[in-house]
Amino acid sequence: MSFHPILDRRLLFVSGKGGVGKTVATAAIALYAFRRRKRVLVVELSPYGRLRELLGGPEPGPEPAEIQPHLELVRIEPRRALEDFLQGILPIRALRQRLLQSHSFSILTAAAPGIEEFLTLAKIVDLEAIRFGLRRRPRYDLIVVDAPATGHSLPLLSTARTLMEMMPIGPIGKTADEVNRVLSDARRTAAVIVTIPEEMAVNETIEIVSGLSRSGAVAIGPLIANAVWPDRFTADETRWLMASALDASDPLIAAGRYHVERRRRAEEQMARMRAELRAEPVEFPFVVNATLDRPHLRRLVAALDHAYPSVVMSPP
Amino acid sequence: MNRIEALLQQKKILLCLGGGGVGKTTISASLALAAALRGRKVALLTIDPAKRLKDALGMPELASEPTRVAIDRLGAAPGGELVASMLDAKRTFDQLVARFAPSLEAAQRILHNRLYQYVSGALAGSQEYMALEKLYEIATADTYDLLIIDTPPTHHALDFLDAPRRMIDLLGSQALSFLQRPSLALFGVGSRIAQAALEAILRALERFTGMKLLAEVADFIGGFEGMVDGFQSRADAVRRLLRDAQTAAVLVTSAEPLTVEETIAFYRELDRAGLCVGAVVMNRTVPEALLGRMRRRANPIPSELRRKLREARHELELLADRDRRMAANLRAAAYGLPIAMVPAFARDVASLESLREIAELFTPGIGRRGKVVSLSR
Repeated sequence: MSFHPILDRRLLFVSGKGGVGKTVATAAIALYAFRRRKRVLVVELSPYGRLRELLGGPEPGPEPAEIQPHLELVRIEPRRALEDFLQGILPIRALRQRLLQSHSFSILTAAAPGIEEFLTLAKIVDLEAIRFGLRRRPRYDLIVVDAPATGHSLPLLSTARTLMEMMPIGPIGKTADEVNRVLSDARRTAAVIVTIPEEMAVNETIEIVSGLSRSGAVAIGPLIANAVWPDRFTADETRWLMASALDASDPLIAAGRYHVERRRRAEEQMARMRAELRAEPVEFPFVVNATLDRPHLRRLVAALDHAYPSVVMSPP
Repeated sequence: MNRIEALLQQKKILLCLGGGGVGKTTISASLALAAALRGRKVALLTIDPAKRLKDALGMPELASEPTRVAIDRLGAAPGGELVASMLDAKRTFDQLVARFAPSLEAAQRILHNRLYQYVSGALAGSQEYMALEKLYEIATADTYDLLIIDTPPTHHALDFLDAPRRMIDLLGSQALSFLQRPSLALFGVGSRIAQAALEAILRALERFTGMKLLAEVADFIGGFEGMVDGFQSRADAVRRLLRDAQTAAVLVTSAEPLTVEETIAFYRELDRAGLCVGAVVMNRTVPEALLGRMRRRANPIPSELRRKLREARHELELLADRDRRMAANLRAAAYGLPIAMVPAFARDVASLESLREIAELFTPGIGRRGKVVSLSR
């Protein structure tokens, strides 16, 4: 039996350059798995997260809340993770607050890179470890994390390994070891990188994917190209359209040629990704007036169905 | 003369501001080219140009040194000149330290401090701070008629404008001195509990990072003590420069509804902060030339293809509708602000010629082909 890059994993971190559609991609992956009878937990890390707009359900908080049976949403705020950690050391609330607000503390956390990230990761790994029943089944089959933009994700995903190398023993070292074991297990955990087929975005994608592969911190899962101009015309039609004999002032011809050019540009960038990363990106179609709404989301889930066809076990 | 042309002719500094992925770098490069072709001596400071844009401008791979762009063959007016450079935030910061440090040893001590290395390299805001520092440096050298600066993508305009103040707050001994005498900062009076609590935290952090935090912090504070005044007066000068009558901001946006929302918020923030916003550039709109009136049977088109083409055409109309709606939203929010629509080119902007095509939209009549400017007042 072959390995399914989404359904056979337990933990997916969805990341990419800012503004490329990480959140919709997270929601689409969660729904794709949910429709195949997986128990799915969606994790957002930003206090301004918009997953609820896409998935519905109650306002997300620090405890997983049910959107519908077998689909849950939780919001883990890195700052709060740090506060919880400090609570262990500094039990007086007023002192803790004062410390968290002070400038010097932000400089210290900047200088001690990875504290917030590491504590956040540890929380996610805790959620992955929850078991229930006599047979100790995992509470969640799949956890999908709407991770921060790539600039911040690489550190996020590498912290555990860095920490472990720095402190092989002691309580933090032990947790780091555990987190790292979950993260570096390619059959369990992967990063899903979302991009748009434009030069700058693809450059950054190639950079992050190579960076992650080099660090070995986490496996690379599905690659998603969002907002790809659709492939409308057959090869014959394209040849016909681009033939110079046509009257280009005809608005229909002009529109057609414009579409062909845009599609070609998208394909060039997709080809670069294929060549440099040796992976086939999943194409999410460009949608006119794309808004963060459910009809849009359904089209993206359909794109995943198309890329990873497997039996749909429950009705949509 | 349209209003963008007026900005390019009359201002000394133009700041291009906007969120990520809107094409800010390309737009600032074409604004710079437009002014240079009109005969001004222009410096362009970019943050992180795409390789193709760098190639188009003739910039080498790591180009923090100014590169003269070969615009002669584009038919520049006499005196026109364009020099492009890329911001190297870390290096600029190092130079700033070297300038304000009381001695060579003091500078070396700071430059090698680990906290400083995080602050100057990785800490959020250092790139913004250094962009403004570089702006000040070039502007006061007074070698150029016009300085156009591309900025790092930000969600809030003030993140950018306030970067110097926030960074200096961090560098200032004020904020950090509490680490040396925590009890004072926490309670205002000596407290053994506070002292013990803080030490516990620092110990935890030291375990975490494997570095001698207390020692590094003391070094850092000591190093910056004599320099903060220099940094501070510099930041004040930058502040005045940004609010000068000869400085204006150009907001760059796409026609995506969320981005336009962000741009409107940007505009309001800048307005409140006392900065002149000169224009909005809406990038990657549907080219008007594509939306000519439909005619009957201009070409004999196979029927299946005709159906697809109608669909393609319909989609472009929807997009053009969106462009117009979003431009109207901007106009309503920023009354009287000129909005320039720059069409999406089917291909990437990868040559000086294609940059000039955009430049021509801002200043019609430069170069060979005059283009229609869709400039709404």
